[in-house]
Amino acid sequence: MLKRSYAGSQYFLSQILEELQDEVFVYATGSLEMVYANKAARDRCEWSLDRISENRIVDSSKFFSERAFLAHVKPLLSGKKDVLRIQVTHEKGPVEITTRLSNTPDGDRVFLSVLRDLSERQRAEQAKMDSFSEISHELRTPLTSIKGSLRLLEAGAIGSLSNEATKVLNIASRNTDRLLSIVNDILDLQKMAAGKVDCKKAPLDLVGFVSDAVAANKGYGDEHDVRLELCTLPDVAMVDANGKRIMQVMANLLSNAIKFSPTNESVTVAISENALNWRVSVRDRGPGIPESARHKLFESFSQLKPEDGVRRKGTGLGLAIAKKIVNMHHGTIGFSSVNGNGTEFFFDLPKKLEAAA
Amino acid sequence: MEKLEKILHVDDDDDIRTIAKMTLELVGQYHVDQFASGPEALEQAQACAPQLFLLDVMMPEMSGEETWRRLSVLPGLEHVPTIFMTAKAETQFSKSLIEQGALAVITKPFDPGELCAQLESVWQGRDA
Repeated sequence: MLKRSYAGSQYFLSQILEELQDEVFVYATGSLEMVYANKAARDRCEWSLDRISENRIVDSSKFFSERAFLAHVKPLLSGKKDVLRIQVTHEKGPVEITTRLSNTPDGDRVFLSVLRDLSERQRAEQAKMDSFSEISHELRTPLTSIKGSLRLLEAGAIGSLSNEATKVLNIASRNTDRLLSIVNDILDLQKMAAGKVDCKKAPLDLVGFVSDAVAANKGYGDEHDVRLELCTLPDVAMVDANGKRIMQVMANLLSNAIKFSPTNESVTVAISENALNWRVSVRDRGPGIPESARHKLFESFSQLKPEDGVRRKGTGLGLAIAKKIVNMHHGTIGFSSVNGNGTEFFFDLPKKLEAAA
Repeated sequence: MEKLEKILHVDDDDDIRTIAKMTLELVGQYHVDQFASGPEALEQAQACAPQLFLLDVMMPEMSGEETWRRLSVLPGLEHVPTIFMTAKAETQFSKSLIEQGALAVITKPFDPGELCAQLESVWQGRDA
């Protein structure tokens, strides 16, 4: 039975440190001379434990740049940061290095760096992506034939159909599209989870952008007899964002608002601000979100059963995707809702800092 | 400008070949020669004398990219442009095909109503 505490057992702790698969380096802050390196580190660097102080951290890798290192640790020495984390490519492949300050028993200040091999993790991620791509292909190939057949029938390219047949055909066709959007949404989510989504940002003026989004979704509003209204907007609202991805968020919030609006009501879109963020909000006059559903609204497949009991079309993934996208922009997404009195969804994006003219 | 009339289509999926043939012939009024694999296409391509290659990407025996490489060195077919159709929905992948010189990459499922219009617009927009 392991009853006694090992906290005081110096031998045990140093043995664990020695045998850790991560490489551990302890070295003087000024001279960068080695104080200690564990077995994994010594084996790779071909250092001996007895003569460890003959080496400097600079010798730990041929990719080591002393100048880059000194710049990297500046915030640590000035006390601005407690820990530094960096990913670099190394003799071993991709590695993550965390560095912090510590003290030796004699009171000397030392750096403590831990080097973790990421190649296994990257291989696993790659394998995961390959299997998504595989699944995507397996699902899309049959869908291509189904959708193609239905469209040819619908277009009358094969011959004319009775009214009843057309009705059934429309059902098949609508549901094929629905299945396809679910497949696309799942892939999108998985790619984002694996960090494999291209999210290049550029300066974006939310004012023009929001007007474009409203124009692009007007047709969907018309279908549901819902008007889209823009509130008075600021002159300009600059953020750093990926326009295509944020448009995906807008389209999702607008289509949700439209779906949940009573006919002949309007959905209002506004831009507001606080010190740090621009906020885009989309408000509907729908049934509101029941208390019980609020906590899981941004989870996958959490399409809610609204108070009015009317089911709306959707994949149940839209808000989960929207949240991921907003998070990738270091923003937040949220909502406020009053039962029976509509819902307001909003997302906040950090203001772009203007360079002084 | 040369009018697009003859297309060589390669896809290993029987059903997709049927749909594509119907679409291209009924909607687009093109003449279509179809093959179920790269090697079959390579054997017959010169006799078909197509103006455009329409190639699936993921095929078991020989990939679409490999088929393209081999087709484009056949005498008389060196300048035939290529459009890929793929169910691989990765922008990175499409981008790399375009960089290698493909005319366009069409994502499956394609819409038969739009496929011919897409082909036509790519055809007219090509540099050659």
